[in-house]
Amino acid sequence: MHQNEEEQWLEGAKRGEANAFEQLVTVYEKTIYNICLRMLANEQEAYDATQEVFVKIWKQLRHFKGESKLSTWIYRIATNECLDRLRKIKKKQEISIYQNNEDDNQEWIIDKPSENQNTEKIIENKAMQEILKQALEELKEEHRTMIVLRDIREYAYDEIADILNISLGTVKSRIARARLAFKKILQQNKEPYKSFFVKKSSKEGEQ
Amino acid sequence: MKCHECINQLSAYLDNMLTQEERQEVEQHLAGCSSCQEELEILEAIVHQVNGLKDMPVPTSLHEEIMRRIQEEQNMPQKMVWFRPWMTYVTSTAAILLIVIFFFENPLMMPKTASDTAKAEMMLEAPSEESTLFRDQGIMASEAVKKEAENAVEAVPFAKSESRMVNEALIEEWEITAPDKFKLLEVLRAYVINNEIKAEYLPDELNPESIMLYEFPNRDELYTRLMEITNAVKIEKKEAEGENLKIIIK
Repeated sequence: MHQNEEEQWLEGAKRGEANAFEQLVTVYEKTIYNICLRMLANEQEAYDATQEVFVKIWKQLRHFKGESKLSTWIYRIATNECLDRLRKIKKKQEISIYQNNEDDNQEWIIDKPSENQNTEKIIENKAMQEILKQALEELKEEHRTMIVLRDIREYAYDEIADILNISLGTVKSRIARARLAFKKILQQNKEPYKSFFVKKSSKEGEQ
Repeated sequence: MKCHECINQLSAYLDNMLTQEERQEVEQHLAGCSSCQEELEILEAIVHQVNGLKDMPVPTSLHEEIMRRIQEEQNMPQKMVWFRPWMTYVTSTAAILLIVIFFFENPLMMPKTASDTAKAEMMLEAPSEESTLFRDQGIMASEAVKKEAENAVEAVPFAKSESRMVNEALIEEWEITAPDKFKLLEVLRAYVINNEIKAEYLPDELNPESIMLYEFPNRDELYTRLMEITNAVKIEKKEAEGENLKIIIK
């Protein structure tokens, strides 16, 4: 996608052209959906949240003055939507984020290791993906946000600062705290986490 | 450097976000500390594994559903604005013309700010026979205002169907320090919807710093409700009994 192409769509969308906006939807829907999915850990919620995010983008477009990147602005709206929803969920306690639904067919696919990659550091089986997913759900929302933005989406520190409207220093310390919290969850001496580190340490032992 | 200091820095070290000096300190410590080395390896492995989580495909119906919602939005007024059916009060062309002429002939009412020009523009855009009639008679003024509106830094969004003149002068201000902004907004929103008040979120609805409520009743009731969630309501009356209320969220 060319930068100026995106600008054209943006201008069109600002004028109220749905066709131009649809181009932006096409570019960003996958990222937004996946941010929502990781943050909310629930397919239906993510589906609804993604729609809401785009409606908000559509309604707020005129306020976007290009002071930040369009993507940053869009991710901010998405992150805020997720945080709002998490707070509502928490408040109503209607949906437990720890729920373990057997019918939940949501899958966390892991990159297939390419030929020359160090395969020892790749999770090979679905059980491992489930462990990560569960650990992520155990994180409190502030930490989860950092893991999603930094380690899943791999955004740069300064972009995360822009998305969350916090300082670079805060981003740094929050990422550090989030990762330590994540590690602590994975290191718990109980299932399913037990197997995560047994497996890891045996591998590291081989090195 | 102590171990706990080192551990706190490892994350930024991994992401290459340390200054050269900090980096050297961490490396020096790592060289002589096997437990911190192990910490680093574990952290690196976790990050690497989380990096490997692949994007899920978007559900097939999502795109269409989004565009359906956008179409719905297009058919509605663009903003979350509630107002009483003002248009029922003004039914004749004559009444509209009267207001419009008053608007342009009275220098006190000439648009001064961006929001005023935006409103003026919205008035001109009222999609009706009346507005066409007006354009014939007041085309010069219309062009001038439009031009000014284009140059305005930020046009405060009003629903296109909005035609009511609001007396901007009569403003009462409430400053609210809310520990739970989310809850505060929820209460305000519910109040606005229930009472069908015209409200405007500034600068925008997503993260408003202030909210204007126009010509609203029962401010005591609103006050009581706000006090239920926070007792940090500070009231400053700019104009006694102002008919419009500006709520500033701190």
